[in-house]
Amino acid sequence: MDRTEILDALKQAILNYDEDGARALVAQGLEAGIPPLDLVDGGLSRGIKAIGEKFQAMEVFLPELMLAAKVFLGALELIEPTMLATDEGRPRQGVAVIGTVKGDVHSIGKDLYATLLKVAGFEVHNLGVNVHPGKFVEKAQETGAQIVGLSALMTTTMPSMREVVELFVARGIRDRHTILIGGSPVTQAFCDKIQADGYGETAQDGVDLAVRIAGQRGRPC
Amino acid sequence: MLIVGELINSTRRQIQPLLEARDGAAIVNLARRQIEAGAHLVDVNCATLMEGEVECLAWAIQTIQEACDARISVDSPNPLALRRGLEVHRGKAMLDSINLEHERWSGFLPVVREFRPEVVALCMDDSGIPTTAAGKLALATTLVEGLTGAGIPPQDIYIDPLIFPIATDSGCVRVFLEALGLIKKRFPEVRTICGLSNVSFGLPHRAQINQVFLVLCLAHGMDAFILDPLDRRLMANLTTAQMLLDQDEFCRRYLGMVRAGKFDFLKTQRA
Repeated sequence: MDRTEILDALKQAILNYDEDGARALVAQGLEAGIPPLDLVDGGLSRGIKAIGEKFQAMEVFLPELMLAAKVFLGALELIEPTMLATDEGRPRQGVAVIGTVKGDVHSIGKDLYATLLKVAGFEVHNLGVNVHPGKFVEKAQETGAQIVGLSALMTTTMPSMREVVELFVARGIRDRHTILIGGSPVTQAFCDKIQADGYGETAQDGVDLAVRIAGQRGRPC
Repeated sequence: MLIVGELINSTRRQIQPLLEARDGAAIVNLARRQIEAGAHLVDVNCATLMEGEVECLAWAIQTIQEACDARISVDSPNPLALRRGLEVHRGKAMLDSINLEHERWSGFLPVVREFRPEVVALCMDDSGIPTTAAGKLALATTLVEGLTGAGIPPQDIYIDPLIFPIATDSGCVRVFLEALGLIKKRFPEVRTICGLSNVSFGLPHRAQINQVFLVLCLAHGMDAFILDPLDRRLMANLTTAQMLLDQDEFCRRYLGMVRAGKFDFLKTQRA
């Protein structure tokens, strides 16, 4: 197989949820001297993008999306050592710190978001559930995260999101980080009201938003 | 078997405006239809009214109870709303729900102690919802000990082991049913309860999944459900499963429902 064939086959392996196939193709590609980043961007990521579109169109459902992410990460695992040995070791998109806000222990949407961010090329620091505002600030400063993602699944815990935004303001670091919010009761109107930077209706929307913003903010150095 | 009708909930898009407008006729109608369909209690949740919740919850409870003889499951995350709701409630209310999150537990326990309602208790704490059967049993144990310590008899405690979406964890129903069995065995007098819709999140034909989940729960000893009693197929499946599980002597209830026309929708479906 030549370069194009390998990349197309990688995309197809994701669409077929074929982890063994994807790993074999990655090994073949590395042996053929294809740059690791091309295997990701030109192959695996195209597959994930196609799955994401099918998910939005409700042709593919949540368990399949998660399975595709698993196949992607399984293949990525083989690529990473080579990437780290070259200049391509840094996160391709940027760094994200995410968590479910104080008082709220819902984890599923937030964990799905973490996985999809990872797949999109972010280095993800998942702080878990019931995260105190101070923890978001601390981790964002420590990692230099461009993206801070907040999740709330209850109307009663949405105010905790405002607290986080306010703490970033109080610490004088509000302009250094982009704060994105999500969760079923959250709306664009609420996002505007608490002056967060963006709202994603679905995890995939949130990822698209993060990619766009990280692109504007530039890669971390 | 205890059925709590779930429809008067402000998180449902159609309901919030009715509550805000204090549309007593519509709310009473919805309560009455749920009772007639087989609900033993009517859940009332006004939480999305935020500052207006306390007054609205009390109004809804009083309005429903003036019009029909229904017990209410007082559903709120706010101890003030809960207290006000339990104050105006006539007869024995249900409280939905307490859990082991520090703030929730310490805020609700004084109310529980004072009003002694039936209590729905969720297996979660500040670190979230356990994903193993042993973890769920451990939280159930703490809940039962804490609530009996506050004067609630075991048969008035309804433990919800909490179900995850099957879409995100293929093993979660198996774990849930295993936890249910462990809880029933450890605390034979304590009741168990659950909602049905969370399990089907993220999948097509959610109602189909909820139906089968209901039957699986029944087969593993579930004592109560929070559900939509106006769903005829769901109620027919419930009655049928109860009969099959020896909860319906001489099939009286099943036949009664058939004669009352509750299975007629099956005929029209076939035609």
